[in-house]
Amino acid sequence: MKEMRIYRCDDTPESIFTAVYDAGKSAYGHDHIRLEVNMPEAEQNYTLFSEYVDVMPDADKMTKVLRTVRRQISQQAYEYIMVAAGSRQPDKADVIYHFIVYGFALGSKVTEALHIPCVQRMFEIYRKARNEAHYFLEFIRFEEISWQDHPVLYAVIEPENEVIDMVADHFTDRLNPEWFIVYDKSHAKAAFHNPGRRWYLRKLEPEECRALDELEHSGGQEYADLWKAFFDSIAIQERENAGLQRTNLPLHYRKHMTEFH
Amino acid sequence: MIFAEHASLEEKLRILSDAAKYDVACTSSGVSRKGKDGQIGNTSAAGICHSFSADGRCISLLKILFTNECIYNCKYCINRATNDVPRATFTPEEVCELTMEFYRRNYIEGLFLSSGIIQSADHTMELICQTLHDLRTIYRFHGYIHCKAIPGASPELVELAGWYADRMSVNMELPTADGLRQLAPNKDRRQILTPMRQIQSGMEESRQALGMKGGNRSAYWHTSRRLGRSMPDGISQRAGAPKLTGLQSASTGAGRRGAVSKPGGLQEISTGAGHSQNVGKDIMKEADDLYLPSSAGTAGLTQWRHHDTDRGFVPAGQSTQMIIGAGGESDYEIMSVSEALYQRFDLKRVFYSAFINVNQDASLPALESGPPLRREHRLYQADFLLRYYGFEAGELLSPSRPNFNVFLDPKCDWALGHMESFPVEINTADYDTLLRVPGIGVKSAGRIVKARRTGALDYSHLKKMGVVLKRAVYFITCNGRMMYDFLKVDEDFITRRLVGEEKELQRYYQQSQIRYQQLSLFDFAVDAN
Repeated sequence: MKEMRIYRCDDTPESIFTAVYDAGKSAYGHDHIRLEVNMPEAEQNYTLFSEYVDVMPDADKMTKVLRTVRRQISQQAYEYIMVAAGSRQPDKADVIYHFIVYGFALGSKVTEALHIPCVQRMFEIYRKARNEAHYFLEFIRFEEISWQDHPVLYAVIEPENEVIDMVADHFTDRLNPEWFIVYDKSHAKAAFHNPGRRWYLRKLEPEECRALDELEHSGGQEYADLWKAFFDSIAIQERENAGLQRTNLPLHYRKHMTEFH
Repeated sequence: MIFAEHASLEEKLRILSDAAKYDVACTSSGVSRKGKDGQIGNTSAAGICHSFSADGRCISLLKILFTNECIYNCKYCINRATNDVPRATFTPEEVCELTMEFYRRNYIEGLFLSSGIIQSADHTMELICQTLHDLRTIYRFHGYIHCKAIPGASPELVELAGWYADRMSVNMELPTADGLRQLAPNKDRRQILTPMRQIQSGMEESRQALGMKGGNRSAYWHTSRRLGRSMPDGISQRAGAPKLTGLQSASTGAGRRGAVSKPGGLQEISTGAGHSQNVGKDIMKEADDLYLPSSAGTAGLTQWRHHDTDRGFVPAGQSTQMIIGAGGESDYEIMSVSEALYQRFDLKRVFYSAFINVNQDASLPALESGPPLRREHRLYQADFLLRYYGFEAGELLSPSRPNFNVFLDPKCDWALGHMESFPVEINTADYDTLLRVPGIGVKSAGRIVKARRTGALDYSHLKKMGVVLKRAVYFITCNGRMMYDFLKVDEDFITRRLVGEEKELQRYYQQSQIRYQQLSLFDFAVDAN
C-alpha cells in the first residue's frame, strides 16, 4: 500500500495555501495526501507508515493558488476557501485542499456539488463562520467613550472565527461619520475607523490589549439605561419564552451585550 | 386619565414602548441601501435583528408609539379612550434623539413609529410626518424607518410619510369587516383600505419612474410569476383592470382527496383547482369585500418636487397585521383575506397577532389557556406556504374544513390528504414539486436542484443539505428507493409517526387520554383556542 503523505502547516493563510501549492505540485496522488494544521483544536497524532512534510510559508505560492482559484473556479469558491482558512475547524486545510482539487475538475459548479463529502464539509465550515459573523452584526454593542478627546464608539467581541473584516466593513458603511474601534479579544486584533475613511486592522501587543480591556464600560450610561428600559418593557409577559430567547440569542453572545449587564 | 406630562424620557419610553409591544411587525427587511457620506445608516435587504426580548421575539426596530393618547375606543386595545392607563406623548426631537443614539450603539436597525389618535387622524399623521422629516433632514438618518399610515388621514399626509419611510403599514386589525364593526367602532374597512391602495399605487409609480431603489418585489409576487399566475399591480388596477379570478378558483380545491392524481402532477393541483362556484360563497365574500371602487386612491404621487427622490417612495413595501382569535373567524377566512391582500394590494407581509385580552372586556373571548399561540404559529406557516411555496388558500383549507389542524403543520396536513401525489423522486422531480414535500424548504429544494446536476443524490446527501428527513422520508424516493422498508405507508401510519415526533404533543395526548389508534386526521380539526 502506498504511504500517506501528510503536509503540516501553521494556522495562517500563507502557510495553509503554501501547503496546498506544495501538495498539488508534488503529483503524489490526491487520495494519499492529507493536510494538517498546527492548532490547539487539532489532535496531534502521528500516524504510522506516513511521511510527514513540514511546509515553509511562501507568499508567492499563496498568491498563485488564490489567483488560480479565482480564475479557474469562481469568486464564490474563493470566498469559501478564504472564510474556511480563517475558521477554527481543525480539518480546514485538508478540506480546502480537496475542495480546490475538485474545483479544478468541476469548475464553478463545485460550490453546488453538495454530494461530494469535502464540498459538503466546506459548505458547513463556510456557513458556520458566516453565521457567526452575522451574529456579530446583530449583537455587537458600542458604547461611546472618550479616546484622545474624541467621542469614539467602542465595542468588544470574542468570536471563535475571524469575523472582524466583515464586521468592520459593515460598520464603515453604516457609521460613516463616526470614529469607532472594534476590539477582537479572542484574536488580539482591533479595527479602527476614522470618519469618512476606510478602516484599518491592527495586531495588538499584550499591553495594548490590557489598555483596551480597561476601556470597556468606561462610557456614559444614559442611553444604556434607556435601552435596558426599552428592552424590558417591549417583552409581552403573556408570551414569555426563555427557551426561544436562548435559541435566537445564545448565551455566549450575551457576554458583552448592554442589555444583559 | 393619568397624564405623565412631566415624565422623564425614560418613563415616556417605558410607557410608549409598552403600548407598542403588541404590534408584531418588527422586520427591518425589504430594502438594501448603502451608506451615504455624512449620513448615518444603511439598510440590509434581509433585515437585521438586534436582540431578543424575554418572550423570544426579535427586536429589530425602536418600536414605539408617538403618543398613547387616543380618541378611539377599540375594545381589544390597551390604549382605548376609556382605559385608565398612564398616558404620555413624545416630542419629535425626543424620538429623533433616541433613534440616533440607539442606532449608533447598534441597539437597533431603525425606527418603528406608530401612534394613538391624538385630536384627529390628520393631526396625528402630521406629528408622525414632522418626526420623520426631522429625522431624515436634520439628524441625517439614512437607516430603516417603518411608520403607520393612520386610517382616515388625508392623502397628502400619507404621501408625505411615504417619501421618508422605507416601509409603511396600515393595520387590518381584524380579518372580517364584521369583526371590525363590533370591536373597533370608530374604524371601518374603507378607511383602512384607502391608504393601503394609495401606497400601493404610489409604490408602483415610484418604481416606474425611479427604479427599485434597493427595494424588492414581494415573495408572493415572485412565486406567482414563477408559477405563471397573473399578478396585478397598482397601475393596471387603477386603469380598471378586470377583476382577478384567483380567489374563485382558490375556493374550490376543496375536497381533501379529490384533486388530480397524475403521477408527478403536483402542479396540476396547485393551478387547475376546479371550478365549483357555489362552495363557500359566504366566506369568500369577506375576501371579495376587499375590493375598492377603482376611483379610490387614484390621485397618484403629487409631491415629487418637494422631496429627495433618492430613496424612492416606500421602497420596502407595505405590510399589515390582523388580530387572531378575538372575533370568532375561521382560519379559512383569515387565509382567504391574506391571499386577497397579497394579490390585490401587493403587500409584502401579513402579520398575525394572537389575541391577548388586555382589557378583560366581557364582550371579548376570555382565554384561560393563554393567547392562541399555536394557532398563530399555524397561520404563519400557512402564510409562508402561500408566499414561497405556491400554495393557494383553497388547497389548504375549505369551507367544510375551515381550521388548521393544530397537531400537524399545514404542509404535512396537505400532503397526507394527497398521498396519491407521493412519493416524489428526488433526482428527477421539478423544483415546485420538491417544494411541496414536507421537510423540504425553499433553501433545500434549491440545493437539491443544483447539486443533482453533478451527480445522483442519496439520503445521506439530503441530510447534509438541510432536508428534515424525519418528515420527508415518507414522501420521497432516492433513485427509486424509499429510505426504510415501510410495511405500509398510509395516512394513519404517517400521522402517528409525525405527531409522535413532538414531545409536547405526546404529553397532550396522554393527558387527554386519547389513544393513537383513535386518532383520525379528520376528527381533530378543532380550534386552537
